[in-house]
Amino acid sequence: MRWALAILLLACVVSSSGQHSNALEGASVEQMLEFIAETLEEEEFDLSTLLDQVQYLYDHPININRADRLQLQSLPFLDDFQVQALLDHRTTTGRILTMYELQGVEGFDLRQIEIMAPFVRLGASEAGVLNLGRVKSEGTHEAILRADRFLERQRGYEMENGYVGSPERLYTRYRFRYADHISAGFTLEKDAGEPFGGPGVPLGFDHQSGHVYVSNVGHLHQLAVGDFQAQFGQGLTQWSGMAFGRSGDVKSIKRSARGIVPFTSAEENAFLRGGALSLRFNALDVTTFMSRKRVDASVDTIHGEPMLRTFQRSGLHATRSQLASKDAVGETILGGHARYRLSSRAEMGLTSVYTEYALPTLLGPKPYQRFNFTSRSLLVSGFDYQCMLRNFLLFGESSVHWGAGSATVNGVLVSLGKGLGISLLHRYYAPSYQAPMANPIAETGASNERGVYMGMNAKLNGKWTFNGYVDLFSFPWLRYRVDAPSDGMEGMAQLTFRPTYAWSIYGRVRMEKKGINASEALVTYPVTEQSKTSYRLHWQGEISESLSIRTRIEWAVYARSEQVDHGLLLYQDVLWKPPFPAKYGVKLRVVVFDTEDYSARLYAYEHDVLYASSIPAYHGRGIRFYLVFNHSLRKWCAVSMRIAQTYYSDRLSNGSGLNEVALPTRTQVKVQIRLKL
Amino acid sequence: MGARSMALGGASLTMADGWSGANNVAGLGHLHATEIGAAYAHHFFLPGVLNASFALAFPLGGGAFALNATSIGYQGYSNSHFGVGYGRSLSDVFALGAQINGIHLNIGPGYGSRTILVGCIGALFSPNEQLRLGVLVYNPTRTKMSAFADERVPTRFSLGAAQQYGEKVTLLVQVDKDLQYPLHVSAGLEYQLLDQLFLRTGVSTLNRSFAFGIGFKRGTWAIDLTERWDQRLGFGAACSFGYRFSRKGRSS
Repeated sequence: MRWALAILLLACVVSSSGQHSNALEGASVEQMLEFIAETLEEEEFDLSTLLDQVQYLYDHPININRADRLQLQSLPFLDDFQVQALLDHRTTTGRILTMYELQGVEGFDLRQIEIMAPFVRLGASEAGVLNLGRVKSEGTHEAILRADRFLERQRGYEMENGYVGSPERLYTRYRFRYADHISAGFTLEKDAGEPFGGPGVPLGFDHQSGHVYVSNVGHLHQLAVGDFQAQFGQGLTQWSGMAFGRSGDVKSIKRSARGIVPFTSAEENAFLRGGALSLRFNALDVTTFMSRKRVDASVDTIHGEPMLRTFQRSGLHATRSQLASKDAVGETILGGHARYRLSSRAEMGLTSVYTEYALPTLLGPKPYQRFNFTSRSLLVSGFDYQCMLRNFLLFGESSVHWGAGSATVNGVLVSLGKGLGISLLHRYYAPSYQAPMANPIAETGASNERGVYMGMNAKLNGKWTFNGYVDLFSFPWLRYRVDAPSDGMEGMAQLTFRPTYAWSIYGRVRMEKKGINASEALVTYPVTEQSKTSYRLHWQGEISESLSIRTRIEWAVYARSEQVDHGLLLYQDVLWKPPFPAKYGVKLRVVVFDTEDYSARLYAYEHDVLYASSIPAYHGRGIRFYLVFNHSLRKWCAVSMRIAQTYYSDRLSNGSGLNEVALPTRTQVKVQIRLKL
Repeated sequence: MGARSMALGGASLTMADGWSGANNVAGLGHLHATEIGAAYAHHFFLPGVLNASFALAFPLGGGAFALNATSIGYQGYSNSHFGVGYGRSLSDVFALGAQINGIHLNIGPGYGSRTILVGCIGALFSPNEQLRLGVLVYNPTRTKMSAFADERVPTRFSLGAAQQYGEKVTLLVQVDKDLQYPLHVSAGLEYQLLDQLFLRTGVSTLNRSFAFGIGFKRGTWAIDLTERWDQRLGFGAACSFGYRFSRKGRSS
């Protein structure tokens, strides 16, 4: 996963600097994001936290003769086996003199070396010195200003009880960085419909975030003040921020936790606010963190006592009711983590997280809510491990929510050589396990789930590659809209053909089956099976140095009892990026979609301005286009613009509720300025 | 049939060993030494679904003969299978085989028992050293089991492929179409971890199951152990033992 992400950014970054771009590889990360979009049913992602790192690596390549394991693991395209092989190679043969020497290291081939080349350098093997002069001269400043809005009038802006603020979305971000030692910055955002300014909002922006972060200075491993994220083990106890799950890449089921990392995203929930400190003593890391902030929730008054009903995770504060639930309840989190490296191939960790809410939680009346936690506070502790034995990498985490339930996730990655890798993962999360900070591999969440996953990547020969997985899962307790214990399966198979370096084509089948309540009740709702299968054919390639194209056709079938819906999506991309000294680039897409029902909707990754990305769900019948224009005005200043319009041929108005537009079209414009010193 | 086949998700159509008579009779065409095997499987750890099997295969003429038997059930219901098959290589790349199976079905007191004969035909094609393709048609004659409701022995069409992946890995995939049921897909992977130790895993869409197995091979002896997890019915296990008689004047 991580390496696919890097490649996406590589495609963005390298193309903005005028070199040959590897647009082909970007496709794999786009697919991963589509997977997430389909699972979470979220359409917009703020990738800045994830992509920042890769962008920085591109500007400041890692010295692979000096980098330690953690630094090498931060290289997004190296898996644990390759990192180990590289370290072993360095120990046995000493300093690496040329990149091509890496071809002799197990797990590296020429293609991989070409991809990683921009991110690494071959410096001397002794350490550099950290001083204030270097921080000043070598530190980088980056600022982003972004604004976007829909052009059509949405109903919510014309109603009495509609949106409070203006339809513009405004986003500002600044960050200073020096190597992997220092980071400081802030992020400000106002979503569409949110009011600008007002009481309790001194800078005007609804979401405000800032951080100061220091790492790898003597015994000080990581120090964060302000907003940060904490990720440990396999995410079963504590993992704030985005994480990738089941996808075509078998390695993506193992998490590589980064500990304490600065939070720079506009995501308004998945972060911690306070301070964190991690110290390193040889083989031992000790981390503590504390967070106090207010979170959005709807609050009911029962017998004169305020009770927390549900958390509001959208981060939107555009209507009066959304504003009323803003910051409604205080949340305090205290956590600790200890990590011990037994050897260069084995390590284990202990994590404990205490969460307390200012209000008690109201237990919902529905049977599926029976295991929801109702106490004001909870303590969750977990033990994680990872261990490499020959070509087997074993990993896992087991956690207990004290006084309630427990959970465990365990897996193995096996590298079988010649481009063949398989992975297996078992997970069991008891219904009574309710860890609010957990974010492990799961179909629905860190609770009420049992599952077995098996995945495989295989290079069949130089031109053909196969990826696939099967995940069988079951839910021991009821779920929302599933009034009985249920089970399901998800599977994918993809065959990629790459006849030349510049062209590739893949075919993919993906299937999911899951329980759902029947649409009509007898006495209770019987649970029936719903299935969704999608068939995709996608090809892309470079026509010339400046011009590349992508074409996709995808067909989906949704079935549930008697109901069967079909969906179809076709798109054509044209990416125009003349070589240096030209300073501009254009990305154009035309999409046609025709789905019988929302249940047969299809997702596709869309290009956006740097650090933003969207994966809309296409449904209904219509046509959509977008145009992204990037221009580097100066070395330190780049401007991006995007216009996107959807026309629906099957309706006279589109959107629903407050977002409804009394026209068959919907048009979004976006402008971004990026400054870099 | 056998624990090795179960560990590979049932994708055993292309395997050539002592169990070939039961898995794909054309595999006998690749057999060079006499082999015997016995297997025992306990499905879902439920009483009444104990399954015992026995297989014998020996080279004869230009090909090999096979005898095999398997039985499952308890007093109230039991189903036994006896097979006699012959397979041989017709060229370096092609082998063909056929088997006659006697099925003995016994249902509880009162319903009685019945014995039916059905046939199956299989072929194996090896376009190169690494790839082997197989096909098997079981009961092409749609033999009648009972006149009542025109009940017939299941007819099944299976296609399989096995690809060698380097020295140590074999990937197997198989599709089976029973006339009565939707197509199901199975896939398996066998990895030779050490000279004498094999790891196996498999998946099948039939009942949605995963399987994991381990195999030891030492000289002429082989022992295979398998654990299978079925999403709805839970765990089951199998073990099998095999012995190969080394043939004088010929190395296998």
